Amino acid sequence: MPDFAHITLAANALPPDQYNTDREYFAAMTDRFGLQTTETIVALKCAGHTDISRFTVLEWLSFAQEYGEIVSKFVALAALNNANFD
Amino acid sequence: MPISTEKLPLELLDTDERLWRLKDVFRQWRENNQIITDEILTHGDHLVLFASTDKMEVPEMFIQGRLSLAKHAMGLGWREDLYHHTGAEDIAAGYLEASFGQAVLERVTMVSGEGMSRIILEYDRLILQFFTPKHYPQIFLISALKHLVRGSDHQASLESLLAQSPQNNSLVVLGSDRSSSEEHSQSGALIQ
Repeated sequence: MPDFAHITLAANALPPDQYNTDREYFAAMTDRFGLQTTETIVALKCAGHTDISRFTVLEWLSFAQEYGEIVSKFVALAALNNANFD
Repeated sequence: MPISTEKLPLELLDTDERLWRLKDVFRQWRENNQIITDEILTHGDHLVLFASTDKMEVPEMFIQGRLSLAKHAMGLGWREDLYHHTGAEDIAAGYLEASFGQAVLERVTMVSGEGMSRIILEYDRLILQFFTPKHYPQIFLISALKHLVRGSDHQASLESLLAQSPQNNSLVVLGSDRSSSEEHSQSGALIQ
């Protein structure tokens, strides 16, 4: 099994519904997991630029779906990691 | 459809100009101690990103780059399609090795169809595990086409084939009938 033991134990994060908007949630998770470059790759793929405030509705939906799935995997990984340390 | 893989020496990155993009991703991996930096964005459209894995299976895919070989030659459902074909376990092994920290360079050969509809796709792929700045793992894959052969003696560059119909290859390479799906509804006629 890959050695995940060195993964930084993230501080307790709020559940998704405690954020005012999806953007705030994504921003928090991006910072939590260090996903800035990944977020940029997804943004460029979905909209051709990284200014989320200028995303069209369709661009945002595409971005939110793709990036949301990635974030959810990291949240799950962090939960698993924390569980392994309990 | 048979699929096979062959390990390649990493030194090939230094000698085969066709692999310049793989070489640069490998350089970043090595020089940045496997940490993802914005430098990787140079190749962003060509990358396929996966979750790390501890199983002998193709891990969950995060992003399929707009210009990646996976996107253009294999279609959207290739990860699932693989398991209907012989040799899929060979494909999966590289991801597991990368998850253990190895740099994996290998040649993948996929053969489908018979006679004039026979397709041989051969490409080289580099699989590396990077870490985010917060030390969470991600698998990066980048590929370079070796050659694509259609029929008994017709060889075409991927670019010329894709110029005719970008999704056409996905029907043939993985041998799946996706002609009923909206995305591929216009792509079946050329090769079939």
